Amino acid sequence: MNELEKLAKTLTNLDKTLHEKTRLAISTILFHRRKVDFNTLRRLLETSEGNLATHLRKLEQAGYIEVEKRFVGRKPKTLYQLTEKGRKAYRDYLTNLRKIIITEDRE
Amino acid sequence: MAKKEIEERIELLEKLGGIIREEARAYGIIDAVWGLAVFIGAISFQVVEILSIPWYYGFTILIISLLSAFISTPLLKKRIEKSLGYSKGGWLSERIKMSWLAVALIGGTSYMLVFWSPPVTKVILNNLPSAEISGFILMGWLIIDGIGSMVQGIISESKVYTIIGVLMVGSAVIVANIGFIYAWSAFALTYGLGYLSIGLKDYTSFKRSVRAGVKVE
Repeated sequence: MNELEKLAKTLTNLDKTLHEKTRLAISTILFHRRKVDFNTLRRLLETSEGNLATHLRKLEQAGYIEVEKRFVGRKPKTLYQLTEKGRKAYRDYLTNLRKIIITEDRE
Repeated sequence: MAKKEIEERIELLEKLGGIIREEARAYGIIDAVWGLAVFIGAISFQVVEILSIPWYYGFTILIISLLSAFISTPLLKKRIEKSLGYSKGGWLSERIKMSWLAVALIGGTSYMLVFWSPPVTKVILNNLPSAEISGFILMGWLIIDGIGSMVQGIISESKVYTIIGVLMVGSAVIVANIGFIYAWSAFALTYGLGYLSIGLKDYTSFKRSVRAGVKVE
């Protein structure tokens, strides 16, 4: 397999769930910070509630994140964290991205 | 898949990495508190050793300062987490925590077990004046914690922690040659002042930073 074919394979192997920018950003934050609440994600990603909720749902459906609901005082708080599957998928995504960069740099 | 698409993702990862790193500086206040506690405690012990005041005065100040840092740590953490909206518990923090556990807990426990073994204790008690024994023990901790700090610096790619570690290990060599009694000053000046200054620098930088997010849409 030549370099170009390898690159093509890596590109098709990129996780489609994580490749979407908002979901990639959410996963990056959750990878570096164990538990993050909804409002903090909104603050960090400067996005609308609806958009954020949609992407969080997709990540949850993929089994990449888990949700924890708790009360802080009387206020409900929703916290998100990566599952083991999500953590692995994120690492794999970064590995593939790195491969693409290295291949492109060589050409 | 367009090259632009990949570049956009890399740019996004870099921007987010920058924000996460900047916000993590809020935790510098905890390093500063520990640095101050070690500085006060170790310098007090040094004064006690040099002036030949009963050791329990120095020991009491040391315990009080370390206990204050120990008690204030979870309170500060809670306050930072409330303000940031998350806890610093990602893969990097986990690795740093594990490396410190390996170095300080396993290394430190083994060191103390060796130190307190009857043959070693006998040799030390027979050859060292009592005023130098605490400094002699601390010299070992300078090396152990120095290695811990270097490992933290390597993992977190922070030159400052690596330099503090190198200074700690280096100071142990100097102490071994000029007198064990000065190990307290060495600990106060390397670990104490080092963590106090880097902690304050990080916290000030966090306070000054503009907390903006990354627009991903």
